[in-house]
Amino acid sequence: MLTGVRQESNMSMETQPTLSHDSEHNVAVPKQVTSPWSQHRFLFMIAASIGAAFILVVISTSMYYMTGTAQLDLSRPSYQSVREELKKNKPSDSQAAFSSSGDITEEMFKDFIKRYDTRSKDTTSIDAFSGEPMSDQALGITSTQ
Amino acid sequence: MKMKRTLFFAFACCLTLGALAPVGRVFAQDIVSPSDEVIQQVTHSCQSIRNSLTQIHLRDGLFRVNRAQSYEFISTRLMAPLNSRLLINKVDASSLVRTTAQYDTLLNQFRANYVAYDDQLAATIAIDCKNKPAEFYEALVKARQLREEVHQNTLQLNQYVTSYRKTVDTIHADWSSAGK
Repeated sequence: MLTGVRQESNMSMETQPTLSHDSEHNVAVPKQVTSPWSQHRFLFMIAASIGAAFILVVISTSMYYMTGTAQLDLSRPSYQSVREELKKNKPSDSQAAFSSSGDITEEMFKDFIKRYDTRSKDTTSIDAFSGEPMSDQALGITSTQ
Repeated sequence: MKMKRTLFFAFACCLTLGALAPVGRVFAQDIVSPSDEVIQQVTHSCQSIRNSLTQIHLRDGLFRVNRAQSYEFISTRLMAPLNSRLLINKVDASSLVRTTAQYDTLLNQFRANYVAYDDQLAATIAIDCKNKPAEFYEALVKARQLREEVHQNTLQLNQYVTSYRKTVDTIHADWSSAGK
């Protein structure tokens, strides 16, 4: 009766058990018929992992550019010289954060003003992003006539 | 029904075009077409101009990082702690809090404007100035305008830094005169 059992459909991706005869115990035992999916499960897993990694890379790279992080990232190879300059111009540790707790005293005001003046002097001393370096004259486009 | 929908769609298109037309005119007025002489010079000194712009791009990256760090330091490690310390001790620091809020808003604007400028400059450098000198020059003019916006932001931030310092002096003087 059991031998009459047939695999109903070979369209399914799942492993379908069929029956074979066990001569020792004189009973029919299930025989595994494997689909391509289960035969190459490992390869599918590798391909899926690569696919997932690729999608994540695309998402993260687009976020990297869209959020403006790319503009701040000086670790790119073309920024080697700039990186070295950044190390040289690193602000000193004397400009630590001001404490938000404590009493109001004369010393507190003096301490704050000292820290603030040091930092603000560093910040405001250079006129950054002025139009001069990108002018026609600086780029050599100006008419000589 | 279908006719109504088509008419509505056409009407919406006309409205959109009508609204956008003045914007287009503004952009067209802003960017002046380069003269033949300028185009000739751009073509001639193409490589040199691109090298200069690349250098500016690199230097601006450094400036941007340094500046943003300094501005952020002033806001988060100096202004904010002093504001809260004064408030905890019941000293009126409302003017300082207002200045800090304006400063932070402007700092965010600076960041956004820098991104726009940097993108435009990168796009300008990418244009083949030998074969497309007019397009290159127009992109350069736009990059200059965006750079100027960033420059204005830095000037305004510097003004806030100075203004905050003056307000601290005033509060300090008031506190001293109150004999605390």
